[in-house]
Amino acid sequence: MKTANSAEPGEGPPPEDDPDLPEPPDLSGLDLSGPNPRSVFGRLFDAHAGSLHGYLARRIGDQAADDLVSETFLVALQQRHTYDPARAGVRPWLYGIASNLLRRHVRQEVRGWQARARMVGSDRAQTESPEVRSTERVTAQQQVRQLAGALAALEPGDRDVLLLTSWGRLTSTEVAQALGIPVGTVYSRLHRVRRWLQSHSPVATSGTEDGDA
Amino acid sequence: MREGDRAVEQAWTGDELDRALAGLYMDIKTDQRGLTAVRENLLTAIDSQAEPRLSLVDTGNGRRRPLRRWLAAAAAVAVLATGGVVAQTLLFSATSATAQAREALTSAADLAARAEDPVLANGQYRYVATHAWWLKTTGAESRSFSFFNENLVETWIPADPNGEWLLRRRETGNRKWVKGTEAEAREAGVVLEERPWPEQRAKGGEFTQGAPEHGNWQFPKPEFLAGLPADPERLYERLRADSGGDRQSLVYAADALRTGLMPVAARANLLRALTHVPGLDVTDRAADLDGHLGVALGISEDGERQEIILDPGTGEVIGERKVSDSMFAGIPKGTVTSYSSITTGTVDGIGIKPAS
Repeated sequence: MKTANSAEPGEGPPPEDDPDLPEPPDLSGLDLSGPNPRSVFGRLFDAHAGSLHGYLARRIGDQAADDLVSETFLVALQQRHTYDPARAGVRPWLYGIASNLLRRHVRQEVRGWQARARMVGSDRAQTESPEVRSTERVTAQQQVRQLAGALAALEPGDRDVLLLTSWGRLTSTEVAQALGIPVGTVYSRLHRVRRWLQSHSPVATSGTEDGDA
Repeated sequence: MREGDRAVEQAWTGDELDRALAGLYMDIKTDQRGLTAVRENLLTAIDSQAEPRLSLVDTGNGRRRPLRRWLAAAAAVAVLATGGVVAQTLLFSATSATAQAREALTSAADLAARAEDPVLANGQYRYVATHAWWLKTTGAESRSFSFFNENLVETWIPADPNGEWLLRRRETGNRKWVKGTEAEAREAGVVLEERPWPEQRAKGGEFTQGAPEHGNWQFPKPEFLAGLPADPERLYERLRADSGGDRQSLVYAADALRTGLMPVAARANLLRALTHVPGLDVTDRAADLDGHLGVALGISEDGERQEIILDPGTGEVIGERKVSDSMFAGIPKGTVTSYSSITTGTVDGIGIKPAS
């Protein structure tokens, strides 16, 4: 069945360098524990909830992301008196709270990645006749599937570092602040994870799929 | 991944990894309608500096659900440790299909058992056709397009199953656009048409090399069926073990049922075995497959519901569906993400279609 595997569907245009994520405004001067939390947290929410939601939705789906965003801001509200701007920017602080909350959902997230790894590429494999299962083509979807499968296999801490960097657009210093780990650890984790993904995510260009049968 | 495949794998460059990561579910951030309600609740919590009301949050797109975890989070940070547990209790653990599903399956099994296997004269063929609407996404990076693509898969099975079988598969050209339009996709250089699938002929239906000699759920040869337990509960245990369980049990059962290779007794028994699938429920009493109505039985897992559709009049499986069971990747809950309908018939020669 190798002949059928060589087909490559059309690719989209190359990604833009700078996706449509505006830089969030710098609210680091906000006095979180000041007398008017309504105004402060309203601004904080408007500045960060959208991108935080986008980040969380990509990890666990956007319904769960609604809940996690609300929990994150409620925890932030509770902890505002202990927030120390000298130790972390407000954005890494919020992503750090969200990362902690997300840890309760590790299993759900991993199951989600695994499901997506199966779902996207095996969509036809699961519904069509067995004769054509092994002729599944290498598609862009398969690439997504492979990457999702690889992400599912990462240690939670490694996944946080990778995705806070790639999707959360935090710098290594900010990731370190968010997760409460040394920045050197962020560098070494990122390096290790990226090398692993580079060799484990690409799809095979020929040969058969591992299949669901 | 087997060893043999590793040789043909290429490692990604750092740029390729970055592009793939950046493209992965980037479109999911588009649905943030729920945030309006989240913001309101945050401000309410600030105003009251007490527990927010126990109420339903309307997230702006028709979803209303209790604010359980809101309360857990707002009450005190200490409660956070148990917040996850509160949410988890919404799940239930069933030990079998629901009463409605058991009833539908048992009734279908009774009908199936009373039916007669088609008798093929020499030279006649059993014709099995699957009309499948599969969601196809192309251009996964900065711009992606999705559409339902209709495929027709036809199989001709000879009276003597060791004789020559015929398999034809083609795209019908019918598409239903989910994301983007055909014009936009072509503009972006996406090739929508697949390469034509060559017609395949194979003795004994061995279209795939390396398939298990004695058959499996996807190719239930007589010797495979003979080795299955007769007791429905034990048959379910076998199905679960072979498939990995849960939703996959239903997928594997549907695989077998749709081949047209299951004699009536085996079909009836497999339907009875499905009464033991935990959480299997009647999800739609009037599922519409190309105008043919049936009863849908489904099981949800990982945000997706897998369904088989039974014809309540004959007990036959007439199709399958997958339905999104959570909002993910821009696909709203309740969206049918793929479906297929199955028709069978007896014809007088290979490659001949039954009169409709």
